[in-house]
Amino acid sequence: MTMQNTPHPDDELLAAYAGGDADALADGSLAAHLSGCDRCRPLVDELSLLRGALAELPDLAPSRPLRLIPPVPAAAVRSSWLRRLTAPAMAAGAGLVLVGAVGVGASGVVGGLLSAPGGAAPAAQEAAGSQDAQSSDTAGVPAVGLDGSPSATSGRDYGSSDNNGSLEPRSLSVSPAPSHTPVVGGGDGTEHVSTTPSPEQPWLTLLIAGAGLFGISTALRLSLSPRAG
Amino acid sequence: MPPRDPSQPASRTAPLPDEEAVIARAASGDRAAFTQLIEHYQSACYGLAWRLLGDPDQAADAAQDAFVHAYDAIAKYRGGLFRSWLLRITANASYDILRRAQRKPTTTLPDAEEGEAELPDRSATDPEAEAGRSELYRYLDAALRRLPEDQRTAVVLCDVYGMDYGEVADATESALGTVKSRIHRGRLRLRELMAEHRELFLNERRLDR
Repeated sequence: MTMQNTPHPDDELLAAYAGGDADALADGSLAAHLSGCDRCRPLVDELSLLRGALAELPDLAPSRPLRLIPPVPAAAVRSSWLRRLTAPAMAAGAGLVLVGAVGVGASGVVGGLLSAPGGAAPAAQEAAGSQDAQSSDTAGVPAVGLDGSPSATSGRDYGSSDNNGSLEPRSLSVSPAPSHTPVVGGGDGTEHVSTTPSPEQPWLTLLIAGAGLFGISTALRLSLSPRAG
Repeated sequence: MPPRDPSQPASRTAPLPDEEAVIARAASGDRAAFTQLIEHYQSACYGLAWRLLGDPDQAADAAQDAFVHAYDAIAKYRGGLFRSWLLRITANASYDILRRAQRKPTTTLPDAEEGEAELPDRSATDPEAEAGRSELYRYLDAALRRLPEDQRTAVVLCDVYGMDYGEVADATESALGTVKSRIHRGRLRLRELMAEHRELFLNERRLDR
């Protein structure tokens, strides 16, 4: 029954067989040899048992407490502070742009309707407009402006609180006469901001200031925030 | 002593009951979920690193390196056994440390030292099967530490942690044929080193049957 005279396979091949190596298992002559060899069969069995014991080696408790998760990177912390600091400025800038845009659009219409000679409304509106220009970076501007238009009512609110009771003097220093001229559109066909005082001008100032604030805070955030990746 | 899970006859950490959900939360950036996963599997990672490196401090470093890599990569995790995924990362981190330490001219680890590698007093053999098993584990770990480094790495990854040839080749940056040869020669050498204690695993098999 033994095959003492048959040359034994290389031990490495037996070790491969014991580990379930596909090539070794598919070797028909090896299987035939193992079935009848008193030297190789026990060796394969022992290697298989050894391998089974290795597969059951337990996990090991760490020798010291391990840091399980990487700390939050400093860049991320800085980014969150940056976000906290620049977010209000960006929001305020965007709000001013919105108010300014609405104001420009609305005053172009309302200003035209209310500019009849001798009317009190234009004066109130101009006063309100001048106040807008002076305090365009105050928190109160967007709240009132968001009502939608520089109406006489909203203009009075501004005037009564900050204009020392005088609605008469024109604080804009550009030109003495109120104009019905639209903001843009010169006679030569090129677009430019009119130097003629108009109801739109304070709102335009507001719009530009808002855009500037938004732009600066956005640029600050982009330039200081950590690069992705 | 390593943590024992009664549901795991092989003394290995079993998956969390709600593991898929925890992984999904971790992958979406939930740091608490990631911590829960790593805390659960830290003994598996440390055990692998210790068996590859043989040094408690280096093993702890390798495990922590692996956790950082896993944190960076978990968003790209695509199913399969999480334990196996984490162990592959740990194997790579351990091998990186091994490569850096290879400047030293040693090819085998020092003999059994403090901690888990300490050999039991043979005269105090406990008749209970569990005691026999832990004695076997300690002899096995001690024998693994006496293998040449390339064979030990290959046998640990393949036979202890169940990686296939390709995974071992990737982890050790070696050719497939080289890896096979190391595993097979390592098994034979380990058998010689365990010759004195072979009754332990032969008896164990009889007890298991």
